[in-house]
Amino acid sequence: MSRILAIAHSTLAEAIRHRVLYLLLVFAAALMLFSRVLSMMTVGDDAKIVKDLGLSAISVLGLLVALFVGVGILFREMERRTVQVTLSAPVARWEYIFGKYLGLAATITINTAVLGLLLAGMTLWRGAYTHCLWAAIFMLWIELLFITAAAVFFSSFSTPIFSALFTSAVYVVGHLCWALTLLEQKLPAGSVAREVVHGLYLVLPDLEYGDIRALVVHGVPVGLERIVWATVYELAWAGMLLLIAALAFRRRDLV
Amino acid sequence: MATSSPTPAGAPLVYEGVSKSYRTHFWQRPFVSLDGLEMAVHPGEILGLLGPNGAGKTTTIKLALGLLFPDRGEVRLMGRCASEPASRAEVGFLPESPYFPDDLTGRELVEFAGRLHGLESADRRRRAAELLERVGLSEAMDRPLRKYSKGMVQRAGMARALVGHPRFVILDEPMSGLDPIGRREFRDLILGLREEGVTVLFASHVLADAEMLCDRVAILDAGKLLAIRDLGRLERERRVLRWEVEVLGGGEVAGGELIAERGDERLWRLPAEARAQEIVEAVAAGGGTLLSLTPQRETLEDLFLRTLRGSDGDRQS
Ligand SMILES: Nc1ncnc2c1ncn2[C@@H]1O[C@H](COP(=O)(O)OP(=O)(O)O)[C@@H](O)[C@H]1O
Ligand SMILES: [Mg+2]
Repeated sequence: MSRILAIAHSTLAEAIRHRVLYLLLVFAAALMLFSRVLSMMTVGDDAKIVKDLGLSAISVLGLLVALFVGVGILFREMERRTVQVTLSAPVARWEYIFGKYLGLAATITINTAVLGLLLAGMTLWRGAYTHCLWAAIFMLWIELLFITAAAVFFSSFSTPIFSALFTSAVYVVGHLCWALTLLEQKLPAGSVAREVVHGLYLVLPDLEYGDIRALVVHGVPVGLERIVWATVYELAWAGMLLLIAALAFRRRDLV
Repeated sequence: MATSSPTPAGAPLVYEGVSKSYRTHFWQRPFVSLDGLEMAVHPGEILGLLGPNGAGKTTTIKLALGLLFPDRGEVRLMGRCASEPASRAEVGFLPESPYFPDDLTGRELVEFAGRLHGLESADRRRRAAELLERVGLSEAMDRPLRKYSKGMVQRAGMARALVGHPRFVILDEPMSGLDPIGRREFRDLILGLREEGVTVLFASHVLADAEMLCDRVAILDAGKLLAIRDLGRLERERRVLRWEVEVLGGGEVAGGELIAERGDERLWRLPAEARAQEIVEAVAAGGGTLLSLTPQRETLEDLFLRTLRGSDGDRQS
């Protein structure tokens, strides 16, 4: 465990030195401030704009951090062969993968916390703060932990460009694949097509179930049960991807 | 030509029929970079792994560290299969042209390695400072590696290799990038390790490094182990090129060529074919007194090249 933590720690330290991270943070913060300005100019329920845009900024920023910082760090380690230096110590391959993941997850956690606090402050300023906001931020955080696992997973066997593309694809598909259930209902019961669509839905990670942004923004109460299940579901997915990544990395030649 | 001596008990590193090929693209034929390697590093020795660039030295080392997996055969490190992380617990490694994260300071680099080797925080801090001082980086240890010269990175890498109290140290081209003073310091450091009972395997394409350091040398070329010898024995294999004979007084030495003369002392040169006994007799016959008789042998470099050329002949036939 101490070795995993050592690797996680050094990964976090490296991420914090990444300039892209600050660029993205500033970008997200600017987006939030802009939404505050926007909300002052619009008539109607302007607090929703602040929350909606703010939560979206957290989500997209997290994705970009996973893509640029996460995939970037893993690629650099392979390309510059620093991974070989780490693995020449008595470190197992899976410890390396999990350590890297933990470090990146810590980076994402810090980002999400910083932006979450900023958003909370912004809604307080607007007088529209509710504790439910934190439920939405929590769920975004869990989703980003999953996305980071996907980034590590793809990086364990693919090039950085493809890893970034595949990870983005997971994000998009994860938010759209609920539509397959709609399609399924339109197809005749018992048909092959319906079974295929159903099967496809089952093997894809559905991120929409855990996405409670819209509910929170519109003040619709969210059951604790949904939050718990969505968390378990997304973390199980993350764990599975990491496990496969560790297995794939186990016998890989580091040339 | 490779003579496989029996594997001694407690050998830190053993290769049993190890082959490894690289496949750059799946449609290309794999490139064999190590072919049936049989070799054992003896406990407590300094073994030099010699061979020209591309001979397979780095491949041999990476197989030991579990960075590469053999296609055939078995690699055993510290009595365990080399793919087990625990086999590396008491092993230190200095990579070829060290690829360290360059935003770390020398101290951070060494302390991180100490942490991976399970050293407690206070222990690794003390050990890192001590080792960095030993390699001459006490001034620079808090500067990032990016600001180090190549030789300084090499020194930091050496401190890093030693942080985990290794009983076996693997060094890939440790002298590269060092100035003459640095080479000397590294040599003394490596000899010091042997004094402490640490086994050392080091790869180099520079024969002079091995000549000064090694107990044994293994000569590798094109993925094949050509020879593994005691350096002393290798010394005796060096061919006599000619004899140099110092004679006091007397006349001609039969078959000899006069090269220098100072007062009554003459230096004669005789061909390699001459026997020592014949020379002694020739000097006596000329009426002189034999002062010294020295065989001029080929350099180790020549022997090394001859060994390599011999393998070319083998391959063509
Ligand atoms: N990643 C790689 N892909 C393909 N071939 C490689 C790779 N690494 C090394 N080789 C080849 O394997 C052979 C041995 O390389 P190496 O072990 O690095 O030699 P050395 O360390 O003795 O210079 C060389 O011919 C080299 O071209
Ligand atoms: Mg090499």
